[in-house]
Amino acid sequence: MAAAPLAIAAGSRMSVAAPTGKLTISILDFLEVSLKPVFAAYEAARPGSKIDYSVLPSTGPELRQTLLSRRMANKLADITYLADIFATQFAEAGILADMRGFLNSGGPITADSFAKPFLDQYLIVSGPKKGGIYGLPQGADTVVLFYNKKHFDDAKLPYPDDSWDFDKQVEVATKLTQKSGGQTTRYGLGVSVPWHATYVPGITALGDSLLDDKGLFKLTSDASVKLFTMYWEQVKNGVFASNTQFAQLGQIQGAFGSGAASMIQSVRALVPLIKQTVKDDWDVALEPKINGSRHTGMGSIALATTPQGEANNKALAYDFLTWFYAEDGGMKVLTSTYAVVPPVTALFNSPIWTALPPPPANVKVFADSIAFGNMNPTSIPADVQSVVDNELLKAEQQVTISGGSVADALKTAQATINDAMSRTLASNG
Amino acid sequence: MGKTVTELHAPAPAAVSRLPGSGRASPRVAARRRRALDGAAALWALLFVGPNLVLFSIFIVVPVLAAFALSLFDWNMIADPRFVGLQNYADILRDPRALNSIIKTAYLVILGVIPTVLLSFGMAALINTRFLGYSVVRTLYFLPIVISFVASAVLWRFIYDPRVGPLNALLAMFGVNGTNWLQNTTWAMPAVSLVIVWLRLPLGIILYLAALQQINSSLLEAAEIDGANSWQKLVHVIWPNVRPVTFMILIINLRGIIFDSFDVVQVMTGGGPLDSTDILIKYIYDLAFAQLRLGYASALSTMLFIIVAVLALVFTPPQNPRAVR
Repeated sequence: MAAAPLAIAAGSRMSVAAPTGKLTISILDFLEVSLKPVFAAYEAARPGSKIDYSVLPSTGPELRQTLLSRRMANKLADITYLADIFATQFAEAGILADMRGFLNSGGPITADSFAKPFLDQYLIVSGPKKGGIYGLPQGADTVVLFYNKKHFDDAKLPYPDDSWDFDKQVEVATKLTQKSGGQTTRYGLGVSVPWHATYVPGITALGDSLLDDKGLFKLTSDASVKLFTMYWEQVKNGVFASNTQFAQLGQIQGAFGSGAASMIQSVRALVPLIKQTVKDDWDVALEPKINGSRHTGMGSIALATTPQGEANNKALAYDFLTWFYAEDGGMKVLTSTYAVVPPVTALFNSPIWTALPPPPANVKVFADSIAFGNMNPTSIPADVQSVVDNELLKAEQQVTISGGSVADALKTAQATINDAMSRTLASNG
Repeated sequence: MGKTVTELHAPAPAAVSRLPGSGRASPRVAARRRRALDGAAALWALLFVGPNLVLFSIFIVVPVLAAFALSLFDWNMIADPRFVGLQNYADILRDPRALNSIIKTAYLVILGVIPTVLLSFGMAALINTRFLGYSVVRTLYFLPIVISFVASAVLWRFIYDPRVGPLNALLAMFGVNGTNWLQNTTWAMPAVSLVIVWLRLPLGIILYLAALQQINSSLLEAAEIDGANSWQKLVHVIWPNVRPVTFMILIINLRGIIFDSFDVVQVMTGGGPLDSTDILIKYIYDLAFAQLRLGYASALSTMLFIIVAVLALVFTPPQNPRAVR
């Protein structure tokens, strides 16, 4: 049902003639617990409105399949969630509406409200939707270093600080690593090496880029080979755990939660899970420098209106989005779960999330880290990203299990990835 | 000598001659009556088979035909489909990952089907006796069938865990240093196939048990009287009697291992390490839903369908023409 015309509103305090009706939202499955209270709070703030949410699978292939099927059946919700890597594809598929409509609608939330690097993840840089913004970040998540304070205390090691570089991290991780019968029983560091949030900032720190001028991968560059060698050498040494080890450690959060890894490189979104599982005290620090400069990975999930939502329920959808990003609206409820750093710059120092009881105590790290964020190039099509992930995992196994050379493994991966890249770019015209 | 189906349906000549108006014209009447009876039989057959046929067509035949049609296109669910003819089939021959996954699938079939058939038969024979608590033992054997594939895969992943898994702990008690089973290119597939065999045993045991209990005990008694020992009874009496069931179990497991092993592989190894468990169904899934290459994935699916259909025909037990009649 179409909502009544919207009076300008930002959060509950400013609603004058709040729209009413039913708003449909598709959310990612792992967000259900944290978003249910958000929806309840919105319904309480907007009597007469009702949010009807449905759950989407969060794994890439299933998410795409579900949303593409719903688009073909004309059954999209008014608002849908997505992961950053799908913005271009979903925009071209007609799943998402251009959010410039909302950002330029005269409300309090504009493009300038958001941390630019995170909004830029949804700015389409090529193709028929070029220049459009197809998503609004839910949070501003950068990779930081989580560490188990008890492990450090037991080993009589000082906690990580801003002076750390990669070599120092390896040195400490080696001291924290425990082995038995040749098998590592506790890893010094858990880090997903074949994850763009690890290798993109690393290659940048070494003075290069992931893609060449033609937009193809250059994994065999000196910087790339050096970066992957730095990490995979430590995986081979049994000091770092990467994807190959995570499969049996219950993923990266499981490794940290069970004490199988003393440090991990991960994001704020995992804090609720980590708080539930880690029994020891823990905290966070900035990512160590590489080659004298600090860079870190970044990413986000987002929400966007759909073309159906824009056509049939625009007023209510815009009202919800406005309320969602308000300090006393959705952001307050959502940040109380510990899962989100607000993407709205005005809230970077807000007590709604900085005053939450520890751990983590050093919450400033999450906001400070944004200045060092490097995103995965948005020109990489989502179809190709799945090939990249698969090929880099194989490269990791080639090096760490079979003892192959890093250069050869990356050369093989690059050939397959660039084949897929060329095929997809040709197919998309 | 037995009668054919037609003979059984046809009225006896004597009966036909007793029909009103019969006489010299009776052959025509008999033929008409036979046609009427055949028509009624066909109607009944259609009534019983019809609903199944409709559902089979909707859920099997139509998707198979649609998959074949899709295999002639290049389509990513976003742009318009582009007709490419048989190009997708030609691409299979040039795709090293496709060829690798065909080999891995064949390897899994060998590691999975043969042990499943043999172990099912052996275990069914062992529990085909009444002893104290036999129903409890049978229930334990059937337990895997009620556990979901994904739950089983998670359970076995823990069993294989080199750090905390019970398998390596058990081996260590005997002084054997267990490997990292699921991250070893040599052992990953046998480790996965063991889980698949474990999951598929119950159905095989049930079918063999049913077949064993159908064997006429007088045959076994006669064999004993003739002085046959246990092995000879197994080879000359029991095995021939369960042979049709063996073919059925073979085909069921062949199809099941090729098509239904996706969840176990996905959860336990994700197709790794280094594609050592990258079976065809996993690759098709990646192509269709991770890379959105639906046309190429459909070409591989069609090829897989043809392979399984041919194998099913090869392993279908030879029919006795007399039995048909």
